[in-house]
Amino acid sequence: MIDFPASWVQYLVMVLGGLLLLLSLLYLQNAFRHGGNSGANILTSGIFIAGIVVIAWFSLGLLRDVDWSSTFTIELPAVNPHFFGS
Amino acid sequence: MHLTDFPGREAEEKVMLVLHRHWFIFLKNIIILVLVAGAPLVVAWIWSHIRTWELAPNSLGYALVVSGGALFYLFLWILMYGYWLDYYLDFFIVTNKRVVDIEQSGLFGRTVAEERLYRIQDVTSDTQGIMATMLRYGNVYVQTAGKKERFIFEHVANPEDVARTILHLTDKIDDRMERPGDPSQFIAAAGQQQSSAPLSADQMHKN
Repeated sequence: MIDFPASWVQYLVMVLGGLLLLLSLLYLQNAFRHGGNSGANILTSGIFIAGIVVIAWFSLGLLRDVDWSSTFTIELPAVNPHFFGS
Repeated sequence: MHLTDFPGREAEEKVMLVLHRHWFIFLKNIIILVLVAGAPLVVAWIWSHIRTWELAPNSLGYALVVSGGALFYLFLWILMYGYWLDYYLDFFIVTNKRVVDIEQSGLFGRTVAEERLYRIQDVTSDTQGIMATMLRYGNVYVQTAGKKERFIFEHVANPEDVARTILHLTDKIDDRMERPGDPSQFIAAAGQQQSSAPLSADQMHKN
């Protein structure tokens, strides 16, 4: 049985999510640098940002019930101590 | 920067064609992404009919499924936007003076290749495949005498018309004799300044 703080999962998700958001910002910067302020560029970038907001909003809403100050437990399978002989 | 305001555009240069890849190429990538996005949902739906399973809101499994799913779909969403940018920021420009091939590769790579029309030696087009034939898209190959010997306009709509347009523009350039260093220009200029002195042996040999 392994116990670990739930906040570890929270931090891991925040780090990975932060990296993905940074990647999004780089893509947006690239789009406007080389594509200019054309209508198609603004529209697609707006849709992209809206999609990110929707994903973040839904996931944060679903994770609201998780108690991040608690402890998670992973049950390990029972190991027979006599498996390799007594 | 507007798409047609490419680097190094001259004041009197007219843009004749701006070509993107055919929309079907972009759609193909999106369809694949949508299938990848739907696969976990289909598997979860099938599994729920095989075995009943519940995730308590305060459990590790619930936290992992929700956060893992959010990160997965966020990644796919960013990938989709990346495909769009790859489609939108790659384009080919044909002006009355040159052809320009602008390619965006990833986030930090952008290649701009250009060649003057008078250096174009050959233009061919091809259409391969069922979808390409039905939707009328294909490749245009522009053979040049420059450093980049071959421009390939991949998956453009109506490649035969594009090739014909480029050839027509190169014919107009040839007709106007705008190639620098063209011997006929020097001959014409020399004719205007012709002196009464007879040609030397070297001059006769060159003529």
